[in-house]
Amino acid sequence: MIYSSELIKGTLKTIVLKLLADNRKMYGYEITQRVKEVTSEKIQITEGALYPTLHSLENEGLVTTETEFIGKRIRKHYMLTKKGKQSTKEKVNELTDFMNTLGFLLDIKLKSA
Amino acid sequence: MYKLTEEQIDFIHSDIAKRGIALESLRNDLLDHVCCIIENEYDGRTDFAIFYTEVIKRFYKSELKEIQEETMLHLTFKNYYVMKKIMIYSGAFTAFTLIIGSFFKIMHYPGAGALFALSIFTASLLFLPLNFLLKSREEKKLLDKFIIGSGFFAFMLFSLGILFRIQHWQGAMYLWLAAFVITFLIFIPMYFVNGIRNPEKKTNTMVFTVIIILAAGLQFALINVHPAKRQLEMKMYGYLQNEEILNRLKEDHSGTEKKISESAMGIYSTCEELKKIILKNNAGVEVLPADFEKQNLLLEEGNLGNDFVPNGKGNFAFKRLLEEINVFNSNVDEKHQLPVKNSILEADMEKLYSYSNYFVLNSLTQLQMMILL
Repeated sequence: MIYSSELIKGTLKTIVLKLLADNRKMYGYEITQRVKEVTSEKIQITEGALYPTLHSLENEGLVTTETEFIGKRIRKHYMLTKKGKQSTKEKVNELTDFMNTLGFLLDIKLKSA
Repeated sequence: MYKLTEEQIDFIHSDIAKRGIALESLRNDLLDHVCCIIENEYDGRTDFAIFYTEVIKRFYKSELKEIQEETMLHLTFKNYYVMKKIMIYSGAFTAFTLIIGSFFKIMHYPGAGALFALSIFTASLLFLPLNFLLKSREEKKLLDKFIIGSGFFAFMLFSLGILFRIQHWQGAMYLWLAAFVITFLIFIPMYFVNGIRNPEKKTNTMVFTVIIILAAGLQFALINVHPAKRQLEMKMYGYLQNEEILNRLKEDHSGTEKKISESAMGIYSTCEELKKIILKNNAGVEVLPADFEKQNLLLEEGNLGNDFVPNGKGNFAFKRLLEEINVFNSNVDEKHQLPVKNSILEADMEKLYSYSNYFVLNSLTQLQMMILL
């Protein structure tokens, strides 16, 4: 089962930040592949969602980039800034808390149904 | 792993650009990403162009440009909160200055006009445009954005028109006219037709349309279109005639030997000073020109206003005038004294601001005439 894009949308920033925290620096293709690998292809990040998110994180000052020239093309490696590291912790905590709450909420609803 | 040639990379790069990706950094990201996919998945047996087309299709739903639009949306999202904050603060500031300004106006404190001007200025040039930018972002269809835009623009012109009017700047009528034309010929028809088709918005649309028409109609009812203007012109002619008599007296006087005492000249120039203050306040000019109609200038009938409240500069000048007249009258025989009875010179100084501007202007000119007679 592949999760719907609506579900992924709200958590994409946190997923990307956490991956960057664990891997120091990554480029776009690498991020999509790593997520696919780790989640046994259950979560597939589309390019259409990934790049807007990466650029937005860069604009917010949470990530910074390092360019590498590969022949005629440029590869941008994304990595966390100091502010980004702090924000990752907060976002991961928030998401964990949210998942617990959600579990609790859905559990109650299931029982009552 | 497949190795891409330089030509193939150039081809991909120009294709991405052709598909409307103008942000360079995003273009580089996508180029590298496409290259990575091809390197990992292409076996070199099928046609490269066909394979590339299949790969690039994965990036979008209907066209590649979507990624750029989404990126732009993300990048401007940060400004969204700043804009929203400025909008809220400017809105609060507008309301606050308007309320304080109204209070000052009722109490006849100086500065009411400035507060109103500041308030309308903030509303028209900060609060309303920001409100439009934020609201239009919520609407997806271009038509809806346009309708909202025309409504906000008309409202902006309308409030600027009021600002121009109270400041006696040229062009207030044109701003109002433009606001009315946009409201009735563009905004209301489009808003109504567009909204009434949508079952969810139908009732709201009808109610809101009636409210706008009602508000515009009430505003229109407050404007005296033609007759009042004629009456006002007659009053202006009357004042200008007085000025003309004064000018002729002045010319006659310069030819004769008759001397005017220094204290009388003092009174004459204080009158001149007072008239300038009144005209500046009520018509925006210091001297009313004879061709006021051509210049589209109107001297509105009203009270003397804030310069004449106790401690206002007009009030001070008026007190000086009274003192000068006292000195003058005590030094001449009764026959040559300037008449004080039944004139503005008997005015209650505490309530000087509430006297009619036309009455005071004419009285001052008549006083000047008496000095020259």
